[in-house]
Amino acid sequence: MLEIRDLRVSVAGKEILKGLSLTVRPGEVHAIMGPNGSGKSTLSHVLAGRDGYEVTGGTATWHGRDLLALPPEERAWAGVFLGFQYPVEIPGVSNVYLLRAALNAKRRHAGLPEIDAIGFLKLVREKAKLMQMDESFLNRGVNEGFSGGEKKRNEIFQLAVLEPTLALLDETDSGLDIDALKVVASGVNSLRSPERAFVLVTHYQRLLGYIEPDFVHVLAGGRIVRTGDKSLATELEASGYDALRAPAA
Amino acid sequence: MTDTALTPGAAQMRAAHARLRERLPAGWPTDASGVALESFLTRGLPGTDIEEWRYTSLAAFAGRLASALEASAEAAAQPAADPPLAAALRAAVPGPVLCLTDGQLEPGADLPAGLQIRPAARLLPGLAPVGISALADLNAAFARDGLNLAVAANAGPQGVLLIHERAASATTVGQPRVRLSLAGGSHLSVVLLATGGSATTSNAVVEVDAEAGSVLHLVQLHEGAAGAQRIARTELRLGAGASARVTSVDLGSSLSRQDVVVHLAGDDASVDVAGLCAGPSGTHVDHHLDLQHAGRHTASRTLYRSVVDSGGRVVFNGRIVVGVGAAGSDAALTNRNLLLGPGAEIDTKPELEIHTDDVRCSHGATTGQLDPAALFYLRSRGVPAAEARRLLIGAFADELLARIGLPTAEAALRNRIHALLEAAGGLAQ
Ligand SMILES: Nc1ncnc2c1ncn2[C@@H]1O[C@H](COP(=O)(O)OP(=O)(O)OP(=O)(O)O)[C@@H](O)[C@H]1O
Ligand SMILES: [Mg+2]
Repeated sequence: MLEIRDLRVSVAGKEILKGLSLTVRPGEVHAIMGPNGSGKSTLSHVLAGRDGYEVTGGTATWHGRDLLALPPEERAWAGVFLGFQYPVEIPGVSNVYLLRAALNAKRRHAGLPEIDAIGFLKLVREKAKLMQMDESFLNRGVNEGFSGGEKKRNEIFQLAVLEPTLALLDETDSGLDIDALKVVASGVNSLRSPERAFVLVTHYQRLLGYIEPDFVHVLAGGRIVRTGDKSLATELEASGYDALRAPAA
Repeated sequence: MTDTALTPGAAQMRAAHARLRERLPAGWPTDASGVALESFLTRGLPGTDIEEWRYTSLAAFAGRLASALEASAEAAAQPAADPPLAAALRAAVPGPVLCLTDGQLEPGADLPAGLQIRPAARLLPGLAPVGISALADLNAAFARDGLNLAVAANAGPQGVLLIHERAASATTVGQPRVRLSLAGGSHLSVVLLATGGSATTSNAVVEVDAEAGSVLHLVQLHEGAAGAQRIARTELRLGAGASARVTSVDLGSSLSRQDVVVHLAGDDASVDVAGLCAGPSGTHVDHHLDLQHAGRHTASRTLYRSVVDSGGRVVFNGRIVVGVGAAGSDAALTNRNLLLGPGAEIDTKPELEIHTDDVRCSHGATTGQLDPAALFYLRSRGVPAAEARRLLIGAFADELLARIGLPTAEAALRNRIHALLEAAGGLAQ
């Protein structure tokens, strides 16, 4: 279970998250919506362990482990995965090299032997197929020269290979064409399982038509100001965030 | 101008030279050797007040040179241990190996048809005039053997020849000398591996004469022990339509200075120059490139990269001169440097000197650190921090190694560089 209690985070001296609380149980899909600049990416980054954020209060645990105390790689080993809003290009480090290094580090940590070459190849081929990704992408530099949509698809491909238990997907739907959105959504749906939780940050109700969330939250003013079921997304689509700006009573 | 304090006294050098003469092989051009000595003595070793030597002091080099001149007897033959790169490369490069031990060519290698070893005595006088470089003069004065390799006209590709320049013991001073003469239309692929022991000193000269339409592939690798000093000058003259690809990879030592001088003399000559300098802690690596476009429609592509750790220093000076007659020339130079820690030092200076209008020239240099966004991305996937750094450094180096174009040597080199990065704990910060 992901349990975020009263989380306060500052960036460059400015408080962005102002006492955010959120509970996500295994098997659930939560959508977080909210105005630009409200702190959605900040939340994802803080949970994944990016530098440059100052946590000034509150806690975040995953299955009882204090996430905030761990370096990013150990959070990954604990099952956390961040799908980046802006995936980074890393020329010279191929997609498969990254994935093998990541899988093996996790296996070493768990006291398991490294994955064998044939098994690994089979795994990445199968997942590439799931994401309808051409195999040529496997040996290219991570996101190097990928189009915006290809980068997002690659994030979900990595998710499929690494099989985390807590997937934080930051605007994975932005920049995807209609067909790619369906592919990504069906990729995510196929990975839904009783042990795995998803937190989807999105601006669009459309994604939630394909991936049905259990809860929809609105993040505004540094806090979750409203929580509802999927009908909340439809309502927001029609009315916008203005009505919600006033802090909840 | 010259730091005379650096140079051993003229009397001492003349006496040492006289002793050397007694041991020179029959037919050695003692005149040329003497002329080089006198030229050297008029100028002495360059001091740091001379622009090209601003960042690199030869004081320690001069000290070793002076004590070597005093040593009357031959150094005990207790070969310096080969560094790991040597074994890896000798295994990876399938062709013949020619060993230059303290500049002495060891007999025994079978050369493929089209390659011929000419008498070393004909290495002097050098292709470049005396007086161009004090260190080249020093080499010419004290060399007494070397490799004089000729490729017959139109000889096709022969595989890869490995030349291993090494030291006879951990303390010797050597003046290795190599000439590669490519007759018209011939091909040659050479890996020149220079290794040194814990207190060796070497002052190498490599001359290349590539006649019209010849094709040269030259890879220069240097890995010295921590205390090794090596100075090397590689000078190429390319005739009409000749092309060369020159890649220098320097894994550093306490003093490593490499000059690459390219004369694009004939029309349509072209060169692709690449360099990778690694500056682990405690090393000083200084590469100077001097690219002279003289012929018309000559082309050069230059790419230098360096990776410097805290406590290491790398210097890169890339100079391109386009002469008055070099109409239609095309030159591009890029230099990228990666600083791995707060105490890493890089001094880089691209220089362009253009004496004709009809020319395309570009140059650029960037210096930065490992991209924190890329590091976080890798770590967020579960790659440990140290491994993520190594991956990014390796990727930075690989882009250059991929240009070597000799797959076997490339793989050995990549492994060695990665192992070196792994071993240098400092690189993981
Ligand atoms: N390094 C930084 N320095 C200063 N301000 C920052 C920095 N990083 C983020 N911020 C600010 O923090 C706020 C929250 O940013 P964040 O990226 O979390 O918003 P978001 O909800 O993800 O927005 P969007 O919907 O546009 O992606 C913004 O006002 C942003 O400008
Ligand atoms: Mg965002």
